[in-house]
Amino acid sequence: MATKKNPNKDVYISDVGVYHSNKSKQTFVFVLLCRILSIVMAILGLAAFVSGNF
Amino acid sequence: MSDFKKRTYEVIEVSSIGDASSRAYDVLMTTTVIVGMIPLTLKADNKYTFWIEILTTIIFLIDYIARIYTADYKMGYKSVKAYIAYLFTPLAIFDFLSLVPAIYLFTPVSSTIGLFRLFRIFRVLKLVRYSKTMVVIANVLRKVKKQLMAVLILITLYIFVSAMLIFQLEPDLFTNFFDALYWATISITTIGYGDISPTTSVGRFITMISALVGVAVIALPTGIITAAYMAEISRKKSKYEL
Repeated sequence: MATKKNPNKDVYISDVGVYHSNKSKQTFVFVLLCRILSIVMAILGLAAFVSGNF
Repeated sequence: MSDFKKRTYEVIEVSSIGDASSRAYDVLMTTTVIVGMIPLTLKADNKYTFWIEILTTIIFLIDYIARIYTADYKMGYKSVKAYIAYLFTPLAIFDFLSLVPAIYLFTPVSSTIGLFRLFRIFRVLKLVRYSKTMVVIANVLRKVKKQLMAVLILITLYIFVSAMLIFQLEPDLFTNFFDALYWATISITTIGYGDISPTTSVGRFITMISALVGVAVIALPTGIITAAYMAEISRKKSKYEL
């Protein structure tokens, strides 16, 4: 029996035609941006604390 | 547009299971709040605190605007009144106050403007949204606020009465009535710094009574909050068991 690969969640098939959504890409970009900002803030905070107290 | 607004609301509110965007946003906001407090641990600003202030202001401003934009979802009804009503909710006021420290970035530093930097402390209240424990504590305090207010009024009254008594009995000990209030507060809470201590027998007698009454009165809020917290935990436990 042929195994199904993970279906592409961004492809919607309707009677009118096939629609490609960007939702996965948008989520990926947003999550990446949030994580990068979080890391930058954490590094800045640590640098500020260390340079101000030691 | 309605889908975009709904999605924005889902992202900025506390994340549900499986919502990666909302979870990443919660982590970013929590990190920003904690890092935004670091300048309060320093005696003087440095180059890093300047960039911390810029970034935290931008992030908090985007968050504030997004929350106002989705206020109709938050308040549960669609009308202009929902947006206005949201602006006066406690969390919205804290969000606005947490933006105030940024004022010093745009004006020359003076002692008055410097005071606005203390408003950074309001940023910690933003954590109430992102911590389930803090939500529980906030609910507990909301439920017992009448009892706590009654105890607070009793304590305030007692501090004033003690201060007035000692101010009349030992006028040489105090520069003004505020010093007497300070003494009464330190005595009733049994901290007793010893920077102001009575010299006459009557003054010492008042201090002894203050300390004994203080032990009982100061314990009241602790008992009220503990009982309410235990009741809340039992309620949550029985809710999950059902």
